[in-house]
Amino acid sequence: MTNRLRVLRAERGWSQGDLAERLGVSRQTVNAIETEKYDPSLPLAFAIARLFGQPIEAIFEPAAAPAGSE
Amino acid sequence: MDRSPNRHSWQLIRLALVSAGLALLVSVLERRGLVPSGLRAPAALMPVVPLIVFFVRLRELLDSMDELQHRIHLEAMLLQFSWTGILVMGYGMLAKSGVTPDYPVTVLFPWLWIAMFGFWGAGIALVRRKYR
Repeated sequence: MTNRLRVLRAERGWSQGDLAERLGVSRQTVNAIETEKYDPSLPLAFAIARLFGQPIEAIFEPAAAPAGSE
Repeated sequence: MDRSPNRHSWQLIRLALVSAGLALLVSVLERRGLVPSGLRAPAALMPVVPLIVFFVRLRELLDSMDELQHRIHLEAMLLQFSWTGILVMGYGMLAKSGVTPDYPVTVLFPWLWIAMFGFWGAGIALVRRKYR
């Protein structure tokens, strides 16, 4: 899954720590989501969407399916 | 929500060390015959008390963690479980075939705990790198 979290955070001038504080998670979790090493749970994805005032699908996108998989 | 796992981790390490220290103390006192016969059971169980506190604190630590930390600990415990199982099985088979000395369980048990905690710590460090 890809996401626009880093862009949205930068637009607001927040640090990873600021965002983590607002979401009630650790800074490591924010970093892991931004670097796409970790996909958040649905409740956390909703919390992120609510915080940025955007629908989930505007922030998170499924990774492109490998060629020939469909 | 307290999100400082390091502080909690040090508290857990201290409790584990207190338990190990008490186990050593009781062992030395018993060996020297300094434990009255009526107090042998409570003395023997003394190192278990900090261990109970350890597991209560561990539960609190897990409750205070977010979802990524839960995942890291789950994966670390899976690694610890695997490595401990391989170690115990490997040693057991080697001891059974006479390749290594067959130590009594009372000698092996403290080392098993040390291995479990060591593997757990190594597992956390390894899994954390994956999500860094």
